Amino acid sequence: MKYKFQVENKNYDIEITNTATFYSETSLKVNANDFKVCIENQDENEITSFRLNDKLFHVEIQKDNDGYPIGIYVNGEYYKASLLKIDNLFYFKEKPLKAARAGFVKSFIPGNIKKIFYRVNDKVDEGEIILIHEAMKMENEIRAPRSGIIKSLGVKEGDNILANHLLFEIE
Amino acid sequence: MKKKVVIPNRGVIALDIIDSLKGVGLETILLHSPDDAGTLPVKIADRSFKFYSSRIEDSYNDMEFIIEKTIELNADYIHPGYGFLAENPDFAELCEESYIKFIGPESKVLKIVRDKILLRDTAEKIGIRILPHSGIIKTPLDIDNIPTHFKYPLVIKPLYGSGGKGIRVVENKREATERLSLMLKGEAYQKHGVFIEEYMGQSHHIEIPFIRDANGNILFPPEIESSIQRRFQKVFQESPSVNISQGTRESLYRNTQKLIEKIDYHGLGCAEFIVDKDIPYFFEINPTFQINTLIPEIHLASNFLKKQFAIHNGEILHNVDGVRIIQPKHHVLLFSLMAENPAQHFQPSSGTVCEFYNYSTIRNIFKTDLYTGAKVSPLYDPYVGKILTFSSRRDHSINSMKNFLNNIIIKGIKTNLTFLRYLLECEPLSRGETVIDFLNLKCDFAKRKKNEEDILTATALLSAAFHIENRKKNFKAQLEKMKQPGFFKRLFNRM
Repeated sequence: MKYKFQVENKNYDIEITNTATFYSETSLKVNANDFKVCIENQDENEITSFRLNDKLFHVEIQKDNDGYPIGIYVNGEYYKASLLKIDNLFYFKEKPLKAARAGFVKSFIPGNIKKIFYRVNDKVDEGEIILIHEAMKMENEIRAPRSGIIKSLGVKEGDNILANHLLFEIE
Repeated sequence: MKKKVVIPNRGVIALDIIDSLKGVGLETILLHSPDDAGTLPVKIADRSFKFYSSRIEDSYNDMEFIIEKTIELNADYIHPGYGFLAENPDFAELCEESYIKFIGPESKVLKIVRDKILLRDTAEKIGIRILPHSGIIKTPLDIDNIPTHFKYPLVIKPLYGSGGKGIRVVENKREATERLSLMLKGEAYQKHGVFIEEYMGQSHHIEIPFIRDANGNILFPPEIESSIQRRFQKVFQESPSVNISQGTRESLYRNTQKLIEKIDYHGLGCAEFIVDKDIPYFFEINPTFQINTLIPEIHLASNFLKKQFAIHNGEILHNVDGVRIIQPKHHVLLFSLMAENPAQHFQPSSGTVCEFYNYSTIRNIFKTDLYTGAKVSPLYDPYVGKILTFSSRRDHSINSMKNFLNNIIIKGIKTNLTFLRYLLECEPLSRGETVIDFLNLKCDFAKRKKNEEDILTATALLSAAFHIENRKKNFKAQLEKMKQPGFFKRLFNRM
């Protein structure tokens, strides 16, 4: 199989034998460089470490909603990546509409709502601080992604929330 | 019967306190929030009790509950640890009124130390050069009170702050007004006010740890340089500092001695100075046992928590008559391990540790409350461990620290280990050019270049992982096809 990936803004061509499972040492080619790769550790179908050219690497793959990779952590270091081609099929990824554009603002980490400066139906300008979201002692200022009127607030002051909780909506 | 000590704290600090005070022969009783029920301190404490809620105001900061519980348990001491109530004079006063021994300075000393402007004015009166500051600001209109000779960038600090919380740097007047009006909407800042000083990015942050007993004997371990900070939290600390001259060092000790004698400070603490072009400016005292207390412990090969306990128990310092200054024998480096993800703007990371391994020797110390299966709660400070190495030479310390960091494996949560490794590789760090604005001026993590070879390796790993998954997906699709009616019939017909 042939793959084409973009990693850290550079394109790479990869060649892997069709039948490779990497349970034993298998070679693969990246831009004509040979690597010997073998799975070292795996839990619940997620591969957690590889042996590559006799060195151990811990990996964690970040995926988008469709299960395609968007990045990889190798020993803690992050590399952003995207899939371009499988064999000769181009893989087009639809760019997801930014949540911010649509006016929905969600929390990105769990935490606590410390302070809310506006109420529903208040008029706000782009870049104004709507609320303060405290997580692990850090105060994050959540700003308005665009100008408009606050249509709804998903939280109260003092709420403990999880990640991806709707904070507010601007119309 | 054993005497009892109540410890309303958590994490690495609680671990240290329990460990040391058990050694003194006390029964340790930990008060912890329901969220912290599975953590290491709970396991090693003699006894532990839960607060009713995990909210900070209802748990570690709930003075009445802690006092009531202490009285109920008939305990003799409270060790507040670090953060939470440790610097709070009201709590110390409450302890004194309830005849409980508070392990820390007296409430009247804490009152002076907490009020940063009062402390600086006290220092100035006895002839110590202090860091220039504005008056107290309580409304955004007070911005005109900033002395006109102050140059931007400026730092806004809460009057009663600690642990770097609420401190902000502003670049211009517009930003300063915006920031002030935002900060002063908060109740705590409104009540006590904030103040402003100049941001001295090119200077050094030096701390003088000290310990003073009831007879006025003072022990001075070597100074600590902690210039490199992220969000005003210390990341990298070293002792001794390579950036101050012997004359400055002596004047730092002299000034610290003058000040703590003036306010009659008893116990453990740390005086902080900004040193700009070898001229020291005093700015505050940290009146608690701290993360970096590990450094003096290495220089002296003794346990400072035990010393602190002994002093508050009325004993005097062993082997100290008058003032004793310790000469550094080692070059000590200390890193703070945080549960945050450097790849995503240092967002705090919480979750369960699924794999944990480290390799320590007698010269490499890694104190942490992590273990395989430990949960990192999103409610608290992301601080999870301290990593220390020492050696007789600075470059040797740096090298052995590199090796030490490479042998720490933590999986399940994201940590700032990659950032720490990157910091060690920085040229200016090995040259000793540690200044306060180090991370912006000399070593910007966000702008680092990744090694070509590493990217290639990452690509190889990614494609291998993706290939396996893709194969599985195709295999499943094939199976689905076989389940459709008429599949085998078509196969036979083709043959």
